Amino acid sequence: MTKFYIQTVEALIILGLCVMVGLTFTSAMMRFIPGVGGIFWAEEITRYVSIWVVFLAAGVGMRFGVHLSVDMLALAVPEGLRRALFIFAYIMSILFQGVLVYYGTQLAISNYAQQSASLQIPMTYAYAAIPVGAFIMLCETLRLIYLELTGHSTAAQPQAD
Amino acid sequence: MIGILFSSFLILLVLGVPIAFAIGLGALVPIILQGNIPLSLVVSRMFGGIDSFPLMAIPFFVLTGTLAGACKLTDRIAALAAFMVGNLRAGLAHVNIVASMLFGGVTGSAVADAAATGSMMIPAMRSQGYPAAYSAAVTAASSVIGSIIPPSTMMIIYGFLTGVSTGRMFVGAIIPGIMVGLALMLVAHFQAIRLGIGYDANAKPRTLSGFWLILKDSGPAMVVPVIIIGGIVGGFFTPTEAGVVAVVTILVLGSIYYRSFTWARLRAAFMTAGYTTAMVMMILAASTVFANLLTRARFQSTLIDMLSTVSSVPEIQMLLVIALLLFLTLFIDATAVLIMFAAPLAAVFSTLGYDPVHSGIVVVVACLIGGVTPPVGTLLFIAAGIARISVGAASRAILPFVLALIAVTLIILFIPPLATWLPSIAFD
Amino acid sequence: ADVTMRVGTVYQTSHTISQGSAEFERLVEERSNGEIDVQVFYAEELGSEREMAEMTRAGGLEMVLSGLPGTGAFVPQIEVMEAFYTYDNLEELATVVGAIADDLNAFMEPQGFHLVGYMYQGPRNLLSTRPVREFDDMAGLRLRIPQTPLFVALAQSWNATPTAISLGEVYTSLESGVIDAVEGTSETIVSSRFYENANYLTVTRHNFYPQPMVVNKGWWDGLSEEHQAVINESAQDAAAYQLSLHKDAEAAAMQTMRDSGVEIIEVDTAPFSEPVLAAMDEYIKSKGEEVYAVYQKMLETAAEQ
Ligand code: NA
Ligand code: NA
Repeated sequence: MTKFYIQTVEALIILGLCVMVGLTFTSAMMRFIPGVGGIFWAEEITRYVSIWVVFLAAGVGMRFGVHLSVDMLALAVPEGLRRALFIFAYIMSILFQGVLVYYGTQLAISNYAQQSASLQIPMTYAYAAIPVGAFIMLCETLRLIYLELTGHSTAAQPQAD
Repeated sequence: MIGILFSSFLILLVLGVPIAFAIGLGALVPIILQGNIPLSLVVSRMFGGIDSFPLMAIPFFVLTGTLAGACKLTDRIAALAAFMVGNLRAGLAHVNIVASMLFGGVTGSAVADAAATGSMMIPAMRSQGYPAAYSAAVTAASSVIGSIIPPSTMMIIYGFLTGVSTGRMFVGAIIPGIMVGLALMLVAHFQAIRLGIGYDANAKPRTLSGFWLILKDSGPAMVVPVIIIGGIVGGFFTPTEAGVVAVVTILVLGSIYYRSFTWARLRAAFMTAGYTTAMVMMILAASTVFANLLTRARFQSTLIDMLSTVSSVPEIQMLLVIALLLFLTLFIDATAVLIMFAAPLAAVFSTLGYDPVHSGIVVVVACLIGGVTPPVGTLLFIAAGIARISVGAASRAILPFVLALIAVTLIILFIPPLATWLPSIAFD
Repeated sequence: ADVTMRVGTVYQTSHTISQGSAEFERLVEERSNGEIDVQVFYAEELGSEREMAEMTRAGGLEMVLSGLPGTGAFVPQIEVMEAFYTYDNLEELATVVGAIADDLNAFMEPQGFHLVGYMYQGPRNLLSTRPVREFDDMAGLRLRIPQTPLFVALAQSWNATPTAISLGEVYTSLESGVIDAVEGTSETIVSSRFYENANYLTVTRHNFYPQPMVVNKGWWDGLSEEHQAVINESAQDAAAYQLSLHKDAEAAAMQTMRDSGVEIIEVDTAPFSEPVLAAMDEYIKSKGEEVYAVYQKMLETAAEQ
């Protein structure tokens, strides 16, 4: 189940990147054909797909310690206090993720009438990336708190940049 | 307001809250206290902060780097570097630096450079008997070049936030990037003498037939930087499009010419690029709200006033700014510092009468140095991790290299043409 | 003050729209005897035009000066007010928009907006790196346009190659040759310094357009009749003031370009307008009868001038 969820999100991230590469490349190349001017909606789709990629990767990336933090203090204090600091940091993260989920949902729903400039599709589809990604982030952070409380170390190992 | 904003951010940061969330929460505090800005604005501003086509160059240039690693382009680049400088004293250290310079023309990120060249060069150096700390220091310091030599995500971010042409920043950073490489080679040489490192026994002699072999194998890989810079300067692509063309070029090279992709490596390359992009963009999104509050609180003019209180000499004010950046990046990730301060600093420098491309490159290089300085230095951590030594040991070994990096920054600061000459002949 | 009115505009304080907004603030506060406190936020201080329209609709801002990129994202029907080659000059624009203001407001109200007035923009002209002296010079010109269907239709009817480049990349793209031309008002061209990289301005005068002053409808309905009247009158007078500034600003922007060596090319606009008008008719028809009826009204009012 867990494996299926992670594989699905990862597949969506890879698909999103492929769409971004494919569309931008095609549009840039089409400019070299006289009289054809690239795909006028390619930029818009690329931007919105990238926002989906960012929020999905930020969500599931929580699990892999993608989000940089300053752990100087945590590393300098004894085990028990370190654990308390981690849990504090996770609770603070959840606060912000909660704001993103709540107000992001509001933003996505209330802007159904708003249309994107090129394709004139509801902005809901773009905005929805925020609450969806933030919800994944929130669940992943809860998991980290659970791990920390049950005695597993969740010290972040940077995976990426 | 500026006080509340910074103190809530810094407290959360020190307590270990991930940078993106600490910035976002730090911005929420004054918004809630003031009460006249709706909270939904925070979310739509975050969206607006990353809803930008020029920023798409970041995923593309990060993907370029991870794909280059996935199809072992890095090995071939290292072979080319070995041919060029492998016969010098402490040859592998120089190969490490030159490989970073060449790889820097392919990837947009110092971290990708550190991971790619480090995982290849550090084991090689260790097996030849180089000290572990020295190997880690050379790797970390030279990976900075990956973000100076174009393409560079840091230059893209700076250009996006300040309106300075990314293309000009790219071209302007070529000479500074080469200078950093040469300065590091110089330090590597003197450190080698001090540490008693001699010539590599198994460095291959340079022959014409060897040259042809190298050229056949690594030549096509060097097409990538040519396409990127040539495409932008020649007016064929925007920087974002150049990024995508580079991605496609590597995909084609890797699958047709080198035939070295596997599905697992491709998948890993895409995922690493996705995660890296997410990390940078989340900081950028949260910083948009933060920067918005700074603007409303007239932070730029406060900063300019503070600088002019200390001194009225522009050069001294510039030095103060660089010192401030070096200090901040001791503790905060270089990208985050750049994102938070690029716009206000650009305003300061234009008031001081500096060329925007020149001052932009100085700011970016100063921030990048923070990537190798302890206690928080991502590049140093990566190199220390690969070399399996403590961050403390790596920190001591990197000190002379950091001094060289600072020296180069100051040289660029006081000799503007180093940054402005190439863009002026490329674009004007 | 009894009522606080937060107003947002994307323009820098030096822009005529911003100066008109400052005048609006002064008039409303004076005429309401300080009962209405107006706070203007300039230069995207609160966010982009789209974000500010969003905020106005949600009640986070009382008024926004916003056309297609903001209000139009919610009320696509108002696209018609920016139709190309419908107005020949600013006076005609003022008369025609006056005639359709109620129709525009009828489109806006169901989305929670109310139209209190409008300022004036235009004309938009063509700035290019190689001279466009007659219609045939347009063929194959890589023209950067805002990425909306209306502008795609404009570029296509000119036989230009519509090129999707975001505004932030226009300056460098003109410099490096990714695009050959951009179109916009003289004020935009000068404030974004596009003329530094392109030396020919063809006076196509393809677009004059209103800048609607849009308030949150719920907030508006809750105001006293006196306050509504003060805001309506002040909006009118502020707009008249902006219009008077606009002509000087337009002339000054043209002079700035001339001084820096831009060649201003006057052309017969008829060959440029004919194919565009034909394409527009078809496009606006596809937007439904209601919108097409407003377009007809615009053309009729303009023809009477
Ligand atoms: Na690079
Ligand atoms: Na550091």
